[in-house]
Amino acid sequence: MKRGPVIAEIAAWTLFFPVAIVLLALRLLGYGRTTPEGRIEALLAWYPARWRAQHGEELAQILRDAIAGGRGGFRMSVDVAREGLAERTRAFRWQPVRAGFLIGTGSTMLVPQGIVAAILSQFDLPRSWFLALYVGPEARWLVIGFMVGAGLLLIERGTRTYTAGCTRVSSAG
Amino acid sequence: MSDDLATLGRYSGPATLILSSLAGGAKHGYALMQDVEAFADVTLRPGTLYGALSRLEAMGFIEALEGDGRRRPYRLTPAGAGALHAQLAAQRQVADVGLRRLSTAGAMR
Repeated sequence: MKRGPVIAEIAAWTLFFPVAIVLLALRLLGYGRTTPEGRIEALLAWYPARWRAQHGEELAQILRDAIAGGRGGFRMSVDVAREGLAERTRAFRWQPVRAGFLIGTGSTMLVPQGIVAAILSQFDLPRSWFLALYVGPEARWLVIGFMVGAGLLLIERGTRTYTAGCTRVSSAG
Repeated sequence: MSDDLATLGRYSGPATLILSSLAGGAKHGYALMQDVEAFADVTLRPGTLYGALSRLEAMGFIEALEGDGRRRPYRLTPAGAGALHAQLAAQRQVADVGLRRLSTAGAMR
């Protein structure tokens, strides 16, 4: 196999992803749009929909003025995109993620590491990933008890977190 | 509601400039950008400007007026004037101390 085509192929693939990412970023920043309105529309898309409904029209006017006044360069686009991402992060609802993590971890501790491990400890089966089966018989029930207790506590906390998040969203309208 | 501009984090710098600009009269977004550039030589870009404006309005430091079409002018509220006064007084104190120490250090050289 000739070395030349191989190097060319490696170079092409090495360049492909950075170039593709840059082109995609420029596209998302509104480059390639033929009109200022198209560019403004692309920039506003960085903000969450609810934010756009409330403030979008006003920010669009500031962007129109900035572009018309010769201040609509690349730095302006990056600034608007960064602020849009910051608003998206602020608007993101973390409660379901936190609740999911707590309930998921709690269920894992309660069911496989607690209840299933307790049942399996009565039979001569492979220990697999059940932590309680790796300790001596005297500490086994201590580990199982800890898993069940901690699992129930985490599920309770997760359910509480989720319910509090739902109540906050419904009261916010 | 806090009455301290420092609680705005990275927006506290732009917020001080915006409030200083509005202390000279009500202005809409783009006029604010031009005024800040003229008196402070700082370019506030639209995203940062609007991020700071929306936070200042939520804190009750500025209020929007009825505008012509899509442009909404903002004006300083009494709470905003108080917060700006406190912020500028704190900055002046730092500047005074810094300048005094620099001049003392210069005299010692």
